[in-house]
Amino acid sequence: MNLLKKNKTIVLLILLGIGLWSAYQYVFAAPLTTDNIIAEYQGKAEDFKRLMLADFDEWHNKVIRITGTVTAITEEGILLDQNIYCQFDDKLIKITENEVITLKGRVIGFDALLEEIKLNQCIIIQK
Amino acid sequence: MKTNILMVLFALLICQFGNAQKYFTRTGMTQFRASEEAFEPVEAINKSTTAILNVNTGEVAVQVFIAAFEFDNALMQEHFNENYMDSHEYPKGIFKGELKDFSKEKLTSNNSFDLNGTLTIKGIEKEIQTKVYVKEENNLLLVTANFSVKPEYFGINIPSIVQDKIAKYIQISIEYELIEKK
Repeated sequence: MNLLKKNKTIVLLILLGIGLWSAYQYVFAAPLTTDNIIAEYQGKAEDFKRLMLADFDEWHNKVIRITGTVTAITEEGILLDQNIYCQFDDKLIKITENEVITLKGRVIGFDALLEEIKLNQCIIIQK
Repeated sequence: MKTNILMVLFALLICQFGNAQKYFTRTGMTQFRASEEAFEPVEAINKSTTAILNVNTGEVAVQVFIAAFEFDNALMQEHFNENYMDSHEYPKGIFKGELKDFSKEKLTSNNSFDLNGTLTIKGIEKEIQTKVYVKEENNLLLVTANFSVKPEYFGINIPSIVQDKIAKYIQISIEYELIEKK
């Protein structure tokens, strides 16, 4: 009987510990990175442009995986198919102009000043 | 004769447009701090700001994508986007203004300029005046500024439960490295 009571206390303490740990994990978790989010669009960059221009709101803050041609290279990103700007967190791995690549990134919006679709947190999937 | 004058005027106009020299960035840094010191930091950094400066006229246009503000804490980032900024409905903050008496030639002797303009957040416009520092380095224009705004300027309501943790004035700092737009 005593043993059962003791065990009960231990089980309760363990459950409480797990509960507190989960709550802590939930409240203080770091934001997910592109790596950990499933892409809601997969396909050609060219086709995505049409979808995005038809409805900006639908793609706001969504992660996509697109394949396109590198048309310009800047210090922190690249232009894919002329007007999709993809920003990388890390310094660029060797990419050359006119190369066809597949990347995953988060749509942050349409840049009306430069008339470009803008993605950030991009990672290269395939070169 | 009249046609000649018109043609000269037209040519001059084209030259004027041709000379509109612009500097820009796609990856400007816009940061804000909104925390009272004793509490958990409420701050975020946006490294995807687009900014354009017309160095002939001093005109400035800035576009800040709200969803690109990155917090250390996922829950805070979610609340910022969904409860405070409604980033789905208002995905951008926009600033349009002018650097007073700006000219690139002045940069050797003077780095500080008055910036006047309108900041639009959540569709609400607010006049902003601040000092901006511009430095020329390796063909880049380095632009920095600090200013503060109140959340209520833009209809952002801070619930009473967190009111003590959020500063009355939100400190905003910008750091843009502009390159010449060709």
